[in-house]
Amino acid sequence: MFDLDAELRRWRERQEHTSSLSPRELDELEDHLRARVDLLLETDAALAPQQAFKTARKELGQSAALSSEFAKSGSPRWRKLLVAGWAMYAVSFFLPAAHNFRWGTGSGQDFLWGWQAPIGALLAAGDGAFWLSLLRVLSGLSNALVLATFLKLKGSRPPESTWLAPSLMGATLLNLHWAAQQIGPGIGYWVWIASFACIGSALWLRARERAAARCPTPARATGQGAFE
Amino acid sequence: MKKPVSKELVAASSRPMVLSILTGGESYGYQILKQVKLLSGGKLEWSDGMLYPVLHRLERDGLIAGRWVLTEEGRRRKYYRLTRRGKRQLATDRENWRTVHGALELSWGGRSV
Repeated sequence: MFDLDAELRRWRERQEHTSSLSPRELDELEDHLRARVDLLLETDAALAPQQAFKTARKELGQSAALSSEFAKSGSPRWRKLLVAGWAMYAVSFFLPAAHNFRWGTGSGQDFLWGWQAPIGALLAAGDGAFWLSLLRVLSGLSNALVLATFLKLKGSRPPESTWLAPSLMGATLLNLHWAAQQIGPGIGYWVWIASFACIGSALWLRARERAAARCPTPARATGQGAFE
Repeated sequence: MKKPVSKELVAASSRPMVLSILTGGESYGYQILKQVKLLSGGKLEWSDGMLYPVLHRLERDGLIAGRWVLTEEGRRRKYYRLTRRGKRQLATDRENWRTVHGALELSWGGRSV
């Protein structure tokens, strides 16, 4: 016995793995498939439901073609911001993060590269007042937030966590404060801070977009013109 | 058998087509597709997978606005309506298409058919 719901579930699962379509986009396409199957069965009583589903699916197209068509309709602003944030984060590690820094005797280097900064912050954690040490450690650990956005990334999907955006914004403020504390923050440090702001904003924009696309209170519809 | 309308022409006319259909009230993807077929007597072949990216682009440009509703069968369905900006765009599109159409008609009318 053909089970349309089960077939659609399988179709969705396949799309989730092979395409970059969002759950909302898949909802819309699923609704389309159902409507198409209904019409095919209505117009041809002899048609088997299985065949109707096959036809509807074929007409809709392959997942790869669909994804590329959807991609043409423009990537959302948050995606560009997210990619820009990650790029800035990566670049910041290869720029000078702090001037007037002493690595101890024997080292001619009087500045910190971006990649050395988290190590420097953690090594210097014991110096000075407790709150200063705490800030240093937190600042160093704030890198983990960006790494979390990487790790949570599945395919082309950004992370779902709601705590990441506020945490990244908090880290931006903390690191800005920390920049004011130290002498001569380098260009890498500013790029690093900006990457937090970018990634945080991207996640926030995305959450807002998702909220706007969420199914509203169950308004009942009977068809065209029902809402006027 | 006549050749179907070229893909380029279908793509170029997709915006005014969707906007025009939505002047009749809110509608959803599949219904819009059916309307296109009906209006063109089946001569405009819109692939099913092409419509949704078009709708999303128009929505992103603020020409149409979508909202999700729950149908009587308990399905989620996205309905689109024309926005004020969309109405203005449609007026411009209509003007342009009429210019093209008028010029072609005149040029054809001048010859013996």
